[in-house]
Amino acid sequence: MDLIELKRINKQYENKEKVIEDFDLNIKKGDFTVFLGPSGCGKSTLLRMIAGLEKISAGELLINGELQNDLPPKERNIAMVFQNYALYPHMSVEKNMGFGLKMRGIDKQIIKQKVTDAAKILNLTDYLDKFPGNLSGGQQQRVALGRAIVRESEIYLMDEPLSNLDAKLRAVMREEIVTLHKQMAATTIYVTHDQTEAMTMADRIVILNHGDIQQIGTPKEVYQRPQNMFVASFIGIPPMNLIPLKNHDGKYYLENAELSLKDDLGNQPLVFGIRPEDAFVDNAAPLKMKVTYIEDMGADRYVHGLVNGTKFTLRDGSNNDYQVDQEIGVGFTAQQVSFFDQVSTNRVEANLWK
Amino acid sequence: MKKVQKIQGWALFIILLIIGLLMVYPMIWMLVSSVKSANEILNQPLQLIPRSFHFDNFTNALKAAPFMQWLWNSAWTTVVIVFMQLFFSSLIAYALTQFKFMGRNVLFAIILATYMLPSATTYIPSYVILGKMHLINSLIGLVISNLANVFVIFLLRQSFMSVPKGIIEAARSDGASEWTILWQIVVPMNKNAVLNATLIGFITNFNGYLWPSLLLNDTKKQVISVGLNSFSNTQGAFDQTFPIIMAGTTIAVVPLIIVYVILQKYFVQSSKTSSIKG
Ligand SMILES: Nc1ncnc2c1ncn2[C@@H]1O[C@H](COP(=O)(O)OP(=O)(O)OP(=O)(O)O)[C@@H](O)[C@H]1O
Ligand SMILES: [Mg+2]
Repeated sequence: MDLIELKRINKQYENKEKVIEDFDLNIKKGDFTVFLGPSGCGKSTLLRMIAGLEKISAGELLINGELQNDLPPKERNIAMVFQNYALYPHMSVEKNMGFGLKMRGIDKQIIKQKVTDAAKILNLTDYLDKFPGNLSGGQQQRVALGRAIVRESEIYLMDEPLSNLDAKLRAVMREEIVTLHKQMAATTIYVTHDQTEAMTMADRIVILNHGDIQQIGTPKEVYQRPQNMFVASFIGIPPMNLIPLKNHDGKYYLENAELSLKDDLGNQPLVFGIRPEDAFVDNAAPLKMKVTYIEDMGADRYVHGLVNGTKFTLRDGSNNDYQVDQEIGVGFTAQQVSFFDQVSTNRVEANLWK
Repeated sequence: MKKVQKIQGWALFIILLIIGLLMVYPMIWMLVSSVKSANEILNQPLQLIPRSFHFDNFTNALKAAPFMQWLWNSAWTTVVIVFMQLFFSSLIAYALTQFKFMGRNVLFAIILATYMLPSATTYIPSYVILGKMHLINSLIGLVISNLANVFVIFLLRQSFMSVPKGIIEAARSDGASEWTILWQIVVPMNKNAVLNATLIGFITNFNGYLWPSLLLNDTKKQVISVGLNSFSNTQGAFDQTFPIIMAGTTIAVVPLIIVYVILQKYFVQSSKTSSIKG
């Protein structure tokens, strides 16, 4: 039995269309699960239903096999970190962090001990007497985390806890959260629309769009084998290149070049996908790209261009110079290509002959 | 430019000073008169510093009427009323702002509508109801008829609305009950509005005249405002009893001033800390 089971969950806000429809998901004890998806896709809604802050319109939520639908938040052993910290402005950092324990009637001495320990982990020892308004964004964020971790709950829910931090602090906090998760081995659901967070932190990523699960898998799986074109274009910076294939007499053509597929797919209309790092400059190749601009990131250099009007990006490891409007040949690693159905946009399992 | 602004500033200051003096003048007159002799009070021009201090005006006043009893009646009813009003209004304001229920807006509209009602129109029904409860001529009746106050509800409701939803939810998932959230999170976060309501409630109820004068008959059961009025009415020959009346009035006003000064300090404090805390 999994720790958290969502069974055909539906959510409808007052007189509005359904935000979540027939959502099914199981989450194993101890997993770090990331909900990843664009803004407005229903990530917070899902999390808030699990926490008990939002009513479940239909379906069942089970934790440890027990139905939770009608339990108020305080009767669920869940600690939540909110998208915008939500610290109590009139309480000191220490009071903020200890509030959840106080509500559970824990002995004052023990609360103090736990808060002190958590403050040490989060580097907040010097700020325990301060009020939230006197702290920087990063410090407030850590207080919000601290408030959750002192609870030592079975389940942690984190709603974009790093979204208000600058890039550097975010990287530090990512690592801190992962370390904390390993120490506590608590089941965590982490919501984000930042794929770097998802890729670096998750045991399992749940990719959402419009309230539907697009794919569930490890970071590696969703990156290497995207189950549909949404995932392919959502994951990866820059995302996977997608070019519709032409189809004549049962043969597939990538622009002018024939692709020889191992599998017989009849005349199914296909889209060809290749990641920028699996493509390279090869002027002997039949696929031609017109360079539009070069993006030098320091460690990596991306060459952006158009393949017969469709945007295409490749990572270039050479030191060659390219001019805008120059035409270059594009080669790719045959083992790394993906195919999708043009109509359903779902992944099609097919391979190229070398 | 700078100079013009400076002159404007000074002009404004002087105008405000004059208005301010005009407003406190009766108060000063009262305070000064309360220690003057009867003859000196009506002397023209008015002298701010009395020639001789007649503190016995106060002892005479206390002998002439049960001021202390009236003060006590006013004080405890006011404290109980303000406390109860804050208590009940907090509950209603919390429900109006934090719970979703059918007819919430209608309920608030009805509450506001009763605010539009002139309070005099409620005297007769209230009197009849209190009569049925055998609470006429009773301070308990005065308290009960003042348990709800629309203005306080409105003030707290508007203020409670500014509490971010996320903070309430954080408290809920921290395991706090709605009761705890109200008293430990929402009310402290709205300290200024609560203090405002306290101050206004204190002054309104301490100075309340018409309703208590209708409700209470016994001399012993009067509140200070009504008692003071009947005292000055019964003293007859005005000019000779002016000092005693002024002493009585001063006795009546002092508690208000004390409350005001105390709460004012809190006001300054809370606005200071809230600006630091951002
Ligand atoms: N209280 C509400 N009432 C009505 N509609 C709501 C409410 N909260 C959210 N929605 C709608 O539900 C959808 C999902 O919202 P949700 O907040 O779950 O998105 P999200 O994935 O968390 O987005 P973000 O990344 O911007 O936080 C949105 O279209 C939003 O407009
Ligand atoms: Mg959200």
